[in-house]
Amino acid sequence: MNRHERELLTVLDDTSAILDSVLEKDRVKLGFKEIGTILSIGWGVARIQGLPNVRSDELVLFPGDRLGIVFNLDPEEVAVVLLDKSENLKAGQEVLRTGRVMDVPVGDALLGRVIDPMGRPLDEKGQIRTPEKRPVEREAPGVMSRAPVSVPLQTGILAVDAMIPVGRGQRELILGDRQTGKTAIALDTMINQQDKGVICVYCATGQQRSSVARVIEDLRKYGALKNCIIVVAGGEDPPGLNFIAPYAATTMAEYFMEQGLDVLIVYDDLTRHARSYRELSLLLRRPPAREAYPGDIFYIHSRLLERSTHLRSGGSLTALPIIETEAQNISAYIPTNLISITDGQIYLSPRLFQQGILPAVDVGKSVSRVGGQTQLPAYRAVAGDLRLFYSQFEELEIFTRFGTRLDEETRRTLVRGSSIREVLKQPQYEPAPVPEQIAVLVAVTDGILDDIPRDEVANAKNIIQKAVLEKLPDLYLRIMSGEKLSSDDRRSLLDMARDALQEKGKGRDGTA
Amino acid sequence: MRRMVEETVRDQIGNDSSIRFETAPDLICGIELHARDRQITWSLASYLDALEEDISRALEQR
Repeated sequence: MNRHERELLTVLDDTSAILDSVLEKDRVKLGFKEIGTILSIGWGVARIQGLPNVRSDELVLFPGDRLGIVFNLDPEEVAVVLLDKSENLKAGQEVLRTGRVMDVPVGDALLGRVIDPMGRPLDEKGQIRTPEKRPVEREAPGVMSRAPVSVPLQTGILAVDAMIPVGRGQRELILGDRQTGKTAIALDTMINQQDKGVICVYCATGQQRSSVARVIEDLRKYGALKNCIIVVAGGEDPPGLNFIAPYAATTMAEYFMEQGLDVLIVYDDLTRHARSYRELSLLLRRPPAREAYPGDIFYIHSRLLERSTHLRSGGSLTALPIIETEAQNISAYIPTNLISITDGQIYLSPRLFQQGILPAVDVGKSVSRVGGQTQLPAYRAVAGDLRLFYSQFEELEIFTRFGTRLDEETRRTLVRGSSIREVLKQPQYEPAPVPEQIAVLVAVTDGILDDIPRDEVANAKNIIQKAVLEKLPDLYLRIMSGEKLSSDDRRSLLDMARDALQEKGKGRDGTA
Repeated sequence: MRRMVEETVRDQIGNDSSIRFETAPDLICGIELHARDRQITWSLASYLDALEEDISRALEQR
């Protein structure tokens, strides 16, 4: 008998042992069931008569093993939100209780997988086996088990890390019109986490399949997928499935947080999540309020985002919810709700996007309410006044557009500001490590890049970035370990930048 | 047989209820009592359903 045959025999033995033990226990017995009958079926919702003891949020079973969640409990009927397609369901069919609430598998086996909000695999990598299931709706950690946000989450994007820093356990909203690069910011952040031991969960709600496929492909290409879980509820899925997707994804993320790990979760996007909830609420005839959203629309988002935190026992869950604005209106209903729930926002402006300033982060309208304290000390020395200076420059630029004569100081501010703007431009998929960012910031705030023609600043930035690790490996490590930047360090960074630029300049002259 | 069932049910829940019998092939064999939104079952079909559920749960747990 060879090895394979022996293995096969063991598997068969094990299986029949399980079957035997179950058969021994199970006897034909008198069963008592509560049943309901479908009164009506709509797109995504069903009205049911019966099920006298059913509870709110309980899962109910429709014919064909389809599931639904109890949403409304009225004296005469029960309204259920369907999690599967409603095709082939008819009025008069039987509905059964399951006695449990909606739960999803959690565990290490989910890493690197693409799944739907119920935990069913959507990739072709076979069944997912996890030892545990947890309910999708869970209480947020209490006040006493939370610790302040103290460790930075490096996005690798200079404009964000320097001016709108995000900490682990923070909730930072990304908002902007369509096609302004919101997903790109989240995606770059996820790619930048792969060597930092941060687990990423990407939750797509109501997205087109093609854009989700692009995100997955990018994550795979840059080697970040193995640390990620992708939870997908597509635009064509029932609204019920879209509605529970963020909660299910958070439950999967919480599992890792509770193991003491740092987790990043991206909700892409909550506008569509709010719309699915509006759709369900209107179908269930709940009273509509502003913009036809139901009254508890604020609560569904706050109870979701409250689950992100930094735990006292270690482990954190950082949330990057994404919101799509219409015609740059950040004071619409859903954007203002989320701005007030989150700890800050990154606003992406279509104007900057059209001018080719990418990432199109509008520094003036963006803010990080807790990240400032978490920034690495080296940043604070160089990026302290950067935000203020840059906002002032942007205003000044508008005033001076009419070409009046300028005094020397204003001219200098404009040149410095435009250097900073050039430096903040960063191509997608190229997250920069902290020491490289610091070197560039030191160089630009000291004016080294002011005399360089504008279209060559990007090149100069690259030269400085490359030179840091080559020429100052000690300082590189010191900055990484979170040490303060002394004035000597600053001077050596400046000298290094000047030398590197000069060397390159000479090289170019020589070849020309 | 039907009369026995009828008598027993009337003994339990009173005389004023009307009882309708139906032969349902999908029970395989056994008997079910339906009353509005409640159901008492004693059939091979429900046994097999429970068995299927228990086996898949036991296999999943491994």
